[in-house]
Amino acid sequence: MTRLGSALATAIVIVVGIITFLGLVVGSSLGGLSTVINAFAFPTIANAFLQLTVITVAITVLIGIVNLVIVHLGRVFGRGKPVSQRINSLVLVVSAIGVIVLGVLERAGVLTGSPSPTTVLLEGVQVSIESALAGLVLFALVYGAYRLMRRRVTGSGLLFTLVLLLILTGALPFSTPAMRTVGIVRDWLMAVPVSAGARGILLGIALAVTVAGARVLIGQDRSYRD
Amino acid sequence: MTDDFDKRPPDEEPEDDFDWLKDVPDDDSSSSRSGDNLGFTGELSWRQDVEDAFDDQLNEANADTPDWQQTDNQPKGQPGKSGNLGFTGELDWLRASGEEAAPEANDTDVPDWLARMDLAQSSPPLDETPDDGTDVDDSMAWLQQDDEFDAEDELEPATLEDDAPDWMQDLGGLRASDEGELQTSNALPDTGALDWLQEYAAEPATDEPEEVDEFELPPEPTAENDVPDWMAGAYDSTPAAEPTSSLFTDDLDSESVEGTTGTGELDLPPWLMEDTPAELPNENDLFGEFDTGMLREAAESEYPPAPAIPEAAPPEEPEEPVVKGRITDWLERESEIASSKIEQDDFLNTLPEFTSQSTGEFPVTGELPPTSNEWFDESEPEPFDAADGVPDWLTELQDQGDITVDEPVQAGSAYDMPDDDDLFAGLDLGDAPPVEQAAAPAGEFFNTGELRNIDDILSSYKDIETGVSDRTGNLVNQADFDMDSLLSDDELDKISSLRQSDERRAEMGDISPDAPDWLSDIGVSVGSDDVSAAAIVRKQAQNERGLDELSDQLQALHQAGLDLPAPVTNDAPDNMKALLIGVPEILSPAPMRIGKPALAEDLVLSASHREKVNLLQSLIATDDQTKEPQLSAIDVTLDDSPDLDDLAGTSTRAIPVITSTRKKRGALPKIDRLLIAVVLAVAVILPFVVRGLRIGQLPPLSFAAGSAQQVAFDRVANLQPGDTVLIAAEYGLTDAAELDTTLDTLLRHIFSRGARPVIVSTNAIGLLHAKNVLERGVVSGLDVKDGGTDSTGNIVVSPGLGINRFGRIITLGKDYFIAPFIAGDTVGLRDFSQNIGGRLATDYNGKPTNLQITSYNDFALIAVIAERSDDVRRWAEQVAPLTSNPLLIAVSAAAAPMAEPYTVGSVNGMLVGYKDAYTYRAILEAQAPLAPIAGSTNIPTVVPTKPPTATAVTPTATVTLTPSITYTPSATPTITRTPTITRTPTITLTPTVTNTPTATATATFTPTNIRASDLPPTWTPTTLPGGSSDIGGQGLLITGVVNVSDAVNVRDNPSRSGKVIASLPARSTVQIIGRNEDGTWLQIKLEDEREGWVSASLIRINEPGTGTPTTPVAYNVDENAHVSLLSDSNYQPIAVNLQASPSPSPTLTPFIPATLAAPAAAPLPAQGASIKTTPYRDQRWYGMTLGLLAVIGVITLGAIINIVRGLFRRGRK
Repeated sequence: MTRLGSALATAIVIVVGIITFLGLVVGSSLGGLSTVINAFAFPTIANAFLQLTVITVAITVLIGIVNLVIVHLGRVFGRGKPVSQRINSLVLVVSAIGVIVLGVLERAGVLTGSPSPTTVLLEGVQVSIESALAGLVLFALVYGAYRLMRRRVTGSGLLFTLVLLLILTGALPFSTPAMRTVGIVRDWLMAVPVSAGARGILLGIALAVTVAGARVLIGQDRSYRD
Repeated sequence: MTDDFDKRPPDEEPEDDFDWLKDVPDDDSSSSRSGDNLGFTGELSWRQDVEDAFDDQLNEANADTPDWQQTDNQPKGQPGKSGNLGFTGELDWLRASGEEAAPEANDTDVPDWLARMDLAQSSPPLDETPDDGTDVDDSMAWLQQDDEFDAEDELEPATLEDDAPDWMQDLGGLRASDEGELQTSNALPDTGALDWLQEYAAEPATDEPEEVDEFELPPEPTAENDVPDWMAGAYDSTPAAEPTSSLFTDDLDSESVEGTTGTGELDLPPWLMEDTPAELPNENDLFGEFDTGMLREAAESEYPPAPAIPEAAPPEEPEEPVVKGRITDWLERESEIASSKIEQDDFLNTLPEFTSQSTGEFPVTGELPPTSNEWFDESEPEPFDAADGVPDWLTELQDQGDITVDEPVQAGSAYDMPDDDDLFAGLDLGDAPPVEQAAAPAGEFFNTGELRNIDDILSSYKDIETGVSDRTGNLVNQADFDMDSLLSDDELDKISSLRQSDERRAEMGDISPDAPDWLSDIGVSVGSDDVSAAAIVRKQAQNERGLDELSDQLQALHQAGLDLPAPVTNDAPDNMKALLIGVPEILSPAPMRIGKPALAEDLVLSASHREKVNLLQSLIATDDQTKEPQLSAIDVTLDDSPDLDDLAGTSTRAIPVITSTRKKRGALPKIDRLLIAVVLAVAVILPFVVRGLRIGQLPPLSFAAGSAQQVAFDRVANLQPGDTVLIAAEYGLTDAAELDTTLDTLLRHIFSRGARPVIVSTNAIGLLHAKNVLERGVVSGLDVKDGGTDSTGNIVVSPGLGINRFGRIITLGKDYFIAPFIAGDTVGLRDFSQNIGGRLATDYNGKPTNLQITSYNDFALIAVIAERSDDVRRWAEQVAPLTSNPLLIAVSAAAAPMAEPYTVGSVNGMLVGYKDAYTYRAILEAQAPLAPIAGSTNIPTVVPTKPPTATAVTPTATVTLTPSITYTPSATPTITRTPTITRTPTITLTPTVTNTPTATATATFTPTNIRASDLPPTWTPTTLPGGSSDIGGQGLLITGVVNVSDAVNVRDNPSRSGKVIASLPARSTVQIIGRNEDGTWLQIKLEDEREGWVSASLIRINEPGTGTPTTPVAYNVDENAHVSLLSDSNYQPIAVNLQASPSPSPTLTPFIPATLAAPAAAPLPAQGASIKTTPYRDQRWYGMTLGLLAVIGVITLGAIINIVRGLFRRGRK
C-alpha cells in the first residue's frame, strides 16, 4: 500500500510538473507545438496550479501566525513556565493581536488620522529597531576583521585582509593620484574576479536548478513522498 | 546453553514449549565437557550484574513476573515446570511427589550425598514465582506452593511393593505413601536406571500380552522366552551404539503410558519377571548396550503417544502397583548390585553412557532463577542447604558460586533441558510422534531431563575420577584425582587462573566465559565487570527488537524507568535556566570541583576533560569562585583548530591544559572592543556636527555618459505624462537606510515626469515601508514647510511638492498605486506575471485601481529596487522574459556584485547604493521645474488668509542663469568664462503673497560665505555684493576708461543728485564693479577701495583681458547659454558661453557681469514638479567617508598587531 501510494504521488508530481512546464515554457511562438499545447489548455492549467500554490503559501502564512499565537498563549497560561517567559510571550501575543486589530479597524475606516497607527508602529518601532540592529553589524564585522589573525597569521588571512583594505580604500572619495590608482585596482577587482566568481556561482545554481527540476520531472527525485 | 527468555522467536511457541531443549548441543562432545562446567560454572559475574539490575525493580515488577517464571501458559507437568529445584535437571519425579514427598525417605542404599541430593534439589524453582502474595523473600514458600500445585495436577507415580529392594523403594514414586498416594522419594538418586524402573513401578500392570507379541523379536539365547520380544529384539539388533538416557527414558515413557493396565501391575516382560539374574543385563548392559532406538521403535509402534496419559492415570485414582515375584527377586539382586556399584561409583561410572547425547551440563549445579537473588545470597542455605552428606565439593561449589547455572528460558520453557529432537538425535525415529505428544504430562518424568541431569552428575563424576578437564578438554590433575583435592583451594585457584588466563580469554573472545549463550548470542560484552542490564537492553535495542518482544523483566525495567519521578526543575540554577531557555526540565549540575586527584570527593579530570570543562565554564558562569581564571569560549575554541581525532578520542597528541595567565577581568568588556566601537561611532557621527571633519569629495553631480546609471536616469527622464511605471520595492528594513533614498528619488523623478508608479513587492514589510516612504516623503507634503495643509487648515504649497505636472495634488488611486502583497516568492511572482491584470485590479486596500494593465508591456518602465541578488534574479527570470522593456534595477552595494551579471540582456540601467542615489538626486535637484502639462486645469489657487511667515529659503539647486547679454565683442569672438563667486549671501526672504500669484519680498544680504546653491533659482542679483569684479576667480577684471577729455565726477549714488566723492582724470582706467538697473550708471571702485558711481556715458568698458577692441562685433547671446553649478561647493564656477552672432554689428552693449538681482516675489506654486532637498545629504556622505576611514584604520591596526604578535610567537618558538 505504501508503494502504491508512493507511485501514485510520483505520477501526480510528474504529470503536474510536465503540464506546468509545458504551459509556462511553450508560448505562442513555437508554431505547431504551441498550438497543440494551447489546445490542451496547458497554459490555463499551469496558471491554475500556480494560483493554487500561491494560495497554499498564503494559507501557510496564516497557519504560521495562528500557530505562533497559540504557542505563546500556551506559554503564558501553561504550568511551570518562568515569569520572564510568560512576560515575553504575553508581550508578543498582545503585540500581534494589537497590530491585527489596528489594521482591521484602520481598513474599516474606524481609525483615521495621519499618520495612521499602523504607520507609526511600522516606522516608529519596527524600522527603528531593525535599522539599529543592522547598524550593529558594522561593529561586529569590524571587530571580527580586527581579530582576524589574532590566533594565527595565515596566508588566507593575509590575502583576505589585503583585499578587504584594498576595496575599502578604493571606496574612499579622495582624488589624489594614489587613491585614483587604488580606485582603478578596486574597479578591476570588482569587474573581473568578483564578477567572474559571481557569474560562476550563478551558472552553478542555474545548472543545479535545472538538474533538480529534471530529476523531479522524471521521478528520479521524490523527496515529496515523505 | 542458551537462554531464550528474551529472544525467543515468537514462531517457536507455543507448540513446542521445549525450545530450551533445542538449545542443547547435539554433539557428543558436549557430554565430555562436564569438566568445563567446573570451570564454567564459577563466578557468575554476569549473573550478579543482571541481578543487580533487576534487583531494584524486582519488587515493583513482581506483578510482571517474567514469563519464564510463570506457569499460566504452560501445561501442567511439562518439563521445566517441575524443576523447582534450582537445578538444570527436570526432576519431575521429585515434583510429582509434591510436598508429601518424604524427604526423610530411606536412602541408606545410596550414598549419602546422593541421598541428600533431594535436599539440594529442593532449590527454588525457576519456572514459578509466588504470585499469590507469597513473600518473595521466602524462597521456600513458593516452592511449597509449586509443589502443591504440581502434586495436585500431575500424575503420581506408582509405588513399589515391600519386596522391592530398599534402594528401589527409596526411589521416588516406587513406594506408596500411607495415604495411598503415589509418591516419589525426594531422597532418591536421580539415576537413569532407576527412573525407568520407577516409571515401571509407578504404572499399573497391564494385561496386554498380545501387544507384546506383536513384536518380532529375535530369540535371545539366554532368555528367549523370558525376555519380551521387543526387549530381545532391541537387545539383539543394536549394541547400544547411541545410548542416551533421555532417549531411553523417552522410550520407556512412551511404553509406560500404554503399558499400564490400570491395575497397578507392571507389564514387565517375562524375562524380567523371572529370576534369571545371570541373563539380565546389568546397568551397563541395560543402559550401555541396549539398542534404545529399537526400544523406541518398539515402544512407539506398540503404544500410542503420551497425550492420553492424564486420562490413563489420573491422580485421583492412584492404584498400588503390583510387582510380580520374579521382578522382585531381580530387583533385589539388582538392588544389591546397584548398591554396590553406587558405593563403588562403578555404577555411576557407567551412567555417562546414557548421557552421551545430553548436554554435558553439570546438572547438580542447578537452575537458579535469576530474579531470585536470595538464591545466591551466601546467607541462604539453598540450593544445597549444606545438608549433611552433601559432598564437600558440592558444598564448596555452592559456597563459591562456582556452579553452572543454566539460563532461564522464555516463558513456558523453564529450564535448559534438551528437547526431543536432541533426545532423539542420532536415532531413526521413523514416524516418531510429535514432540509435544512425547512430552505429555505423565510421561515427562522420563523426558524432563532428570536422566540427563543425573547423568551429568554422574558423568561429571566420571570426569572427576578420570581427571578434570578444562574447556579445551585438557585434563587437569588426571592422575591423582580426588574429589576433595579437586575442589581444594589449590585446584580451584588453578581452575580460576586457567579461566582467567589470556589464552582462555582469547578462546572466549570478548565474552566472559561465564556469560550465558543467550548473552553471547546478542553480542554483549559480558566481561566479568561490564555486564549490566542496561547493556543488555541497549543491545536488545540495537537488534531492533520491539518492546513487546522483550522479556517481562526488561519490560518491567522499561516501565520502571518511565515511572521515575520527573526531576525537580526548581533545582536548576538560574544560569542554566537562562542558557537553556524553553527547556522545562533541567537536571541540576552535580557539584564538581577541579582539583588534585585522590581527594575524597574530587573529580579527577584528564587533560581532555579539563579542556572541555573550561569550555563549558566559559559558557556558563559558575558559583565557584576558587577556580582559576577561565578563557572565554572564543578563546578556547579559537585557540586551536578542532582535532577530529580528539573528538573521536583517538588522538595521540598531548592536549595542553588551558591555564590562563591573564588576570580576571570581571564583567568589563574588552578594552579593544570598546575602543573600536567608540571610534566607529564617533567617526560616523562627528561629521554631522563638526564641519572640519567633513573630508573627502562628495559624489559626482552627474553620471558618466553611457554608464548604467546614466542609462537608468535617462529611461526615467524619458517617461511621458500618464505613463505607468512598475516599481518593485524588494527590500526590507535592514537595507531601508540605503535604499530608501533610491526609492524616494526614483519616485520623485517619476512624479516629476507626470508618470504613475505602481508599487509591488514580494516582501510584505517592504511593501508597507515603500508605501510610507512614498506617502510621507514624496507625496503627502504634510510638512508645512514643504507644502500641504498647515496647522490652521490653510493650504500651503511649496514648490513642486505634492503636485504633479497635471497640477493636482498626488493622490492614491489616481497618481500612484499600491498593489497587494505578492505571496510565494518566485512562484508567486510567476503567478503575478501570468495574471497581472487580475492582480492589479485592486490595490492593497482592496479598492479598485482602474488600471488597464494586461501585461508587462503596458508598463513604460519596470524598476526593481532590491536588497539581495536573489530578488534581482527572481525578477530577471520570471518577469524580464515577459516584457519587451528591460528592467531597471537599483540594488544595495552589497548585492551589486552578484546582481551585476543580470545587467546583461534583461536589465538596462542600474543604480548601486547610496552613492548613485546621491548623484541621481543631485541631478534632479539641479533641474528646473518642468512646465505643467498643457491643458491641466487643476492648478491650485493659493489663498492665504494671513501673511506667510518669512522663512529662510536655502535651496541648493543649481542656479541656471540665462543672461541676456548684448555684447560688443573685441577681437575674440567667443569667450568662455567661468567666474567664481566669492561671496554668496544668505538670503532671508519675506514673501508677501497676494491673491494674484505674485509676491514681493525683501532681501537682506549678509555678506558671509554662503553656498551659491542657497540662492533661489530665479533670483537675479542687481549688484555684485562685495564689489568684487574678479568674476569667476579667473583674474578677469572689468575695467573702463574715462572716455572724455575732462575729469568726471564720482558720486555716491547713481544720480546727478548724488554727492561727488571723487573725480577721475580723463583717459584714466577704473574698475567697474556694477551698474544700476537701466545701465545708465556704473559702479566703480577707486584705488583707495572706495566705491562710487559714474555716468555710463562717460566710460568706455574695455574687453576683459583683451584690451581695447579694434573691430567692434555685435554678438547675440545664445538662448541655450546657461550657467550651471557643477558642484555644491561654496564657490562654484559659472560657465558663460557666448556665441558670436553672424551679424557684424559694431554696436557695443555694455557688459553686464553676473549681476544678481533680488527676487521680486516669492516662488509661485509650481505647476511642474521639482525636487526638494534631501536632509543631511552631504553630512551623511561625510559621515560615511570618515567612518570608512575609521574602519580601514581599525582593520589595519589589528592586522599589524596580529602580524607582529605572530612573528613574536614564532620567534619565541
